[in-house]
Amino acid sequence: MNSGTLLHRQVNPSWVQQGRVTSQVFKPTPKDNHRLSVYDGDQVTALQAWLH
Amino acid sequence: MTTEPFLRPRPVDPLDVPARLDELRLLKDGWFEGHGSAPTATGIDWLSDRFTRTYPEDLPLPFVYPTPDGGIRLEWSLEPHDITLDIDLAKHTASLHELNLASDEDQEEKLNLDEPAGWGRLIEQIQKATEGSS
Repeated sequence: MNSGTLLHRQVNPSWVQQGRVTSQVFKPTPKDNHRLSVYDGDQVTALQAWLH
Repeated sequence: MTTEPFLRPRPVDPLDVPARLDELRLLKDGWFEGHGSAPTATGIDWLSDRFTRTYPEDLPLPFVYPTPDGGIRLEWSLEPHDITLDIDLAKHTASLHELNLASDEDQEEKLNLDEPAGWGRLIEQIQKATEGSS
């Protein structure tokens, strides 16, 4: 992983409007233990992350 | 021969707020991965009515999203200003947050949306950001 690595995150459909994602996606919730969970793009493609 | 004027249906703006709020009426409790409260119908009725009557037509429309606690978040991307309004549909209060992406400065304040001054403060902030982003 380096500074150019893509980090994938699943988004609830209600949090997408006209293709734009709410900034809430980048705010960890207590459910996330206040840490943002993402997929490492060096190991997991966007499609794989979506299907997971 | 006379002809009737042809009435064209008025296209709905892709960011039409009442239309988007109507979409969010379909949410059920648990919509957020098994958690999350759905916004109440009375809350959506109130917000839709207030927004339609109060928000100037010449200002940019926000994106509208539900929050897991049953509220509604409005977001405006007016570069370099990123403005969000987190609305509590039960209390009719909101938290207005403005982040300047160029300077990294931000500010937050509480608004009472049952008071004209609350909406006035929001409108003032959007007007200022719109002027600054043009």
